[in-house]
Amino acid sequence: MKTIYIIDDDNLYQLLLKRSIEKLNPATKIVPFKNGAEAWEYIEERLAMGQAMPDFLLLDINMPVMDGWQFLEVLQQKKEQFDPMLCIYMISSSIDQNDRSAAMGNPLIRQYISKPVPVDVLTKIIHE
Amino acid sequence: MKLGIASKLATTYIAIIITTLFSGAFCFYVFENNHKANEYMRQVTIPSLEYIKEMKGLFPQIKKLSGSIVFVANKKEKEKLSELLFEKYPELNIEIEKNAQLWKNEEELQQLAEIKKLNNLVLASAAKISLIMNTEEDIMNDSLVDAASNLYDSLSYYIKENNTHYKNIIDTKNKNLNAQINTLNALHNYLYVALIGATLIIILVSSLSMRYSNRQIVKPILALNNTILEMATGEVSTLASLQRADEIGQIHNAIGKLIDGLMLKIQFAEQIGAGHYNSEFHLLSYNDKLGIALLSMRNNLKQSTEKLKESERRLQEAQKLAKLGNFYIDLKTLHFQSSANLDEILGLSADFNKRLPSISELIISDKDTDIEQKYNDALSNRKQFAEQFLIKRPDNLQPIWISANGEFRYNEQGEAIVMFGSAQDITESKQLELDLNSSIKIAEEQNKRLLNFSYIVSHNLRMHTVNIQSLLELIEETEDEQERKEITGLLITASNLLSETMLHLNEVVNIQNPLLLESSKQNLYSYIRNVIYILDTQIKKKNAVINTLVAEDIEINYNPAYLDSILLNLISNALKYSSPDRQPNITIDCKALPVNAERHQWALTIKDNGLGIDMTKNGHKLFGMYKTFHGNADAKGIGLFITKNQIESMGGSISVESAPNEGTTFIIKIA
Repeated sequence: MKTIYIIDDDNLYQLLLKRSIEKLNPATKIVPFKNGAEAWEYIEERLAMGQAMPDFLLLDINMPVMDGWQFLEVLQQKKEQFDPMLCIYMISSSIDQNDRSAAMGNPLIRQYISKPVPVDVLTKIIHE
Repeated sequence: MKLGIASKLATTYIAIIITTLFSGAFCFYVFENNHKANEYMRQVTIPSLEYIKEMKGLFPQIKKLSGSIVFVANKKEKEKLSELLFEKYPELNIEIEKNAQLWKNEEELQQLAEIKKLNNLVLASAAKISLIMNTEEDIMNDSLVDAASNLYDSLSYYIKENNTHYKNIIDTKNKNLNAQINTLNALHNYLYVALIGATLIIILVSSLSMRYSNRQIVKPILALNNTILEMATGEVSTLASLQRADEIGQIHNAIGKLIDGLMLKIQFAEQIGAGHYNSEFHLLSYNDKLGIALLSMRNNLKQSTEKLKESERRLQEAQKLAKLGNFYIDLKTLHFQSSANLDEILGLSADFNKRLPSISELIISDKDTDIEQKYNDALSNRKQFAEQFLIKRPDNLQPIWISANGEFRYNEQGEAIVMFGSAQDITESKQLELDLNSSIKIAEEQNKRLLNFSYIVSHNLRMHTVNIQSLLELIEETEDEQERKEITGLLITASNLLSETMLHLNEVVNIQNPLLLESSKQNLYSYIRNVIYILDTQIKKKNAVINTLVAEDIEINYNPAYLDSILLNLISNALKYSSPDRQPNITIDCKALPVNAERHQWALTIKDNGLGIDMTKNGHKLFGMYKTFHGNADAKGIGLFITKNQIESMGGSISVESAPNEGTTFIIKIA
């Protein structure tokens, strides 16, 4: 049973993504967050209680309160608390080339995926 | 008498030669006379005296021998007497006769004649005695002896008589001899006198001649020499004219003329030097080289000066057109010299104290450029000083921008002594540059915002279209009617979100076209009052205090819809992000900010004591689109973005000062 965190402020997208993943692999636990701050709060709580981290994280960029980049900054600051580091896929509908290159250059990000996520890519991620 | 130097000198020499000749001739004459007198004395006078003495000496012998013959006939004595009478006396007589021919004294000759007469009588007597007393036996003959004795008596008488004559002639002779010796001595003395006299005369004449030549030739020549030497060193002093017709006078007057000519040329050159190119000047001769050179120099200078004046005039005009002036600062005295153009540019009146301190006081200092520091840097690094700064004009006109370029000049010790350079009024171009810079800045910011906006819009549009696309796919796939219904509901939501995004986009696009905006005079206070009225419900709900310090009569030129929107957005934000820990307090104020002496702009401030924003973290995103910071559910992240764009499209600006949990102040500058 895999655990996946989805951090995205778009409720509809959350819903759609959840459906797609569950369709591909019904044995998947999906935890949704509206923004980076909520996700970090949850992760910090679980860390403190010594609970398991998700198998991977699907992170949006543009969000209110704490956006994708800010969230990555926090992770970077606290990286000694993780073993191993979280596996993060950045998923955005941004077409800003700067976002793409920044994501490619960030060591915390495994892959940058443009919205909508193609089914084959999603399949690959889930079965990895 | 007008005689040349040569004749004067010749005269002197002739005088010396004549003196020498005369004294020589005189000496020669004296010598000759002396010689003659001496000869005469030696060969005539002295021998004659000797002969006469000798002759006188013969007679005592004759008397003795005659006497002895008379009394003792002696053959031997007889022979001796005859020898005396016929040999010695005649010989002596001949000598005397010969000598007497040279005699000059008549008295002597007479005396000699008398002596001779008596001598002859003596001789005749002696001869007779000798004849009478011929033999030894004759002594015995008394008559003979008597006769002889008588003869002897007369002989003795004659001798005695003659002795007086002898004495006379010897005396005369001696007297003459003495006279001759005296004459000789006198001649000697004459000679000495003549020699000494001649020497003295020669010395006198020579010294006179020397003095004369010294006074008349050497001194004037030395004086002229000095004058010429002075002239050789460049000094020219006038020479009084000299009334002398000789060569010295001619040389003197020639030099005088030369000096006069030089003086004229000097005066002419001074006139040229003083810039009087039209002063009169005549060539001394057609071949007056210096004069010709001066004239040609004058003409060239005149031409060059005219050219220089012309180019100066052009430069002046060009500088005036370019609003350019030059300056020269004596760093010792700090005296500031400036061209008329610069005075005009800086607005310096004639009574302005033109010294460096009062000039530098005109510079309006600016926190970015420390002019004094730049000046000191240039001075210590031996570099050019090039700076642009604002200058307040002493005549209280609008400040102007000056671009100053200066260079230092150093003395031998390496100290800077002078700064010179140019200054240009660049106010117009600077204003353009500043305007351009702010326009560029605004354009850059707008560009950035637009890009950002386009990313965000595309992101949001894509987001919704992707969602709608996925939902449509799901509807197609699903068989379950219930699920299809559910998805259709979601589809409506997605569609609504898309249309909301489209509305935002529309709102933003409207702002981006300021050309379509219409502005008119608006009373700021009444707009604020209106917004407070609209927000009344929220204010009451939050129990907020609103302080409006804005003067009621402030009129601004603004688009009414924008003014409404800006005020509503900022005041409602201040209410929305109030701190739950304290009573919200919002202060609205508006003050005039002077831009320059003529213009001012309004600064509207909206200050709250709310949650505040971490400026270091979020300051740069504050006015970005879709940025929210406080997690408010209704925060769309579009309000401040629109507000900023509205303010900037009206030519103003917005800035923010904030600290977390203390409050936020928005400052809106209204052009």
